[in-house]
Amino acid sequence: MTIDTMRHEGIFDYEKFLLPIHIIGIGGVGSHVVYHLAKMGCGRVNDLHVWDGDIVELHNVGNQKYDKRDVADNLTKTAALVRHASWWDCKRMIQHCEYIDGQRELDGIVFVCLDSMSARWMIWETSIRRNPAVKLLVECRMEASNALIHVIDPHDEKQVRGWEKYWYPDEEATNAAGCGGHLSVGPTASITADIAVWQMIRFAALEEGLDDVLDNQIRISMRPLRVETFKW
Amino acid sequence: MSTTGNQTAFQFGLHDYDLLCAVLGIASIGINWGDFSLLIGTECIDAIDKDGKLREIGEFIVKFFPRQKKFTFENITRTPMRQSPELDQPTVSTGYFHHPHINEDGVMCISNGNSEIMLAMADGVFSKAMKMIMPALRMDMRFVRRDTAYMELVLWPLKSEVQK
Repeated sequence: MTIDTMRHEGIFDYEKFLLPIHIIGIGGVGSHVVYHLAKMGCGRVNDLHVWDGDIVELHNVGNQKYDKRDVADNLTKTAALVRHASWWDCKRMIQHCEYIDGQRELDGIVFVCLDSMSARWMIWETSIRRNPAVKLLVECRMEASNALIHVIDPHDEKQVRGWEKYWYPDEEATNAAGCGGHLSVGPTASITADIAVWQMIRFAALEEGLDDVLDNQIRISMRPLRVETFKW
Repeated sequence: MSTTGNQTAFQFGLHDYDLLCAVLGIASIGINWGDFSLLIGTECIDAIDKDGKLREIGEFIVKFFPRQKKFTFENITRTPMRQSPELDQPTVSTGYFHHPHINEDGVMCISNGNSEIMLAMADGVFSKAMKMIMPALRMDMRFVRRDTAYMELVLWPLKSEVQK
């Protein structure tokens, strides 16, 4: 018995999308990204790489795609997602249970969904920027009631400069040690992931010849609800 | 930057200056050419504690450092009281805190909204950044679900006491 993808094949056909996909950071946004990709058929024909060094903890269950069984079994997030993915017919999920601390062989589509801004920069600098194997970067940042998504061709100089302009260091991002840390709300994580995955769908359609121009920056606010898009 | 680019940037900056001046609670605006920072002074900031009492935190200088991509705060009028008679236990200060949610280094802990401020700064729209910062300074503890401040607001004096 296999999940039937006929309901969305007209929009995204996983059998035609052969680029590998990497999801770096599979917490609030990343686990939702993996969920949608797997349900769309990614990881059946192409490889779906998931990168994270965390184990699943109870506070992750409230806003991420994990459940209490993953906590009880003391699973890493990558192992937990591989288990979940098997229920979604995603057989080619490759787990990398590690925190990326240097250059890695990334290719195809890269979703960056980490907490740390410095880790984003390091990955960008060592493994994404002008890496001929990486076709598209989808970078997601999220706070409790707002989110930011960058959709970047790492070979387009203007987009490269744009991404670097809007990167900022961790020291000013959160002062977690003092005030209890980063807030993360499931619906914000989910909607951020939904929109991020849609950018990959648009990219796939572009590759097939559809007339479209990707938005490079997407700003989402929940209170009041507002979505702004920018093309560079 | 070309002449046209400079003109555009100046026009953009002048327009934002007007908007910045219109933000409620802003008292002064300056530029430090030494470290290329934008300094924005505020009027006295009051905040409401959990009992609904108005407390005076002080006047601030908000410093934007666009090149370093950071912003900091300095309370220029008041340090918190070291002990509050309203607290059961004497509170030991761990240093100079500018605000319940600003540490000794002048860094504000904004667990939600920081990225929007950083975006506004990257855009060069400081009026927008200040519109988000001012409510964060004027906190209302009656609507805070989880208080994780560095220093409790009750360490700052009641507005009524200050006025006496």
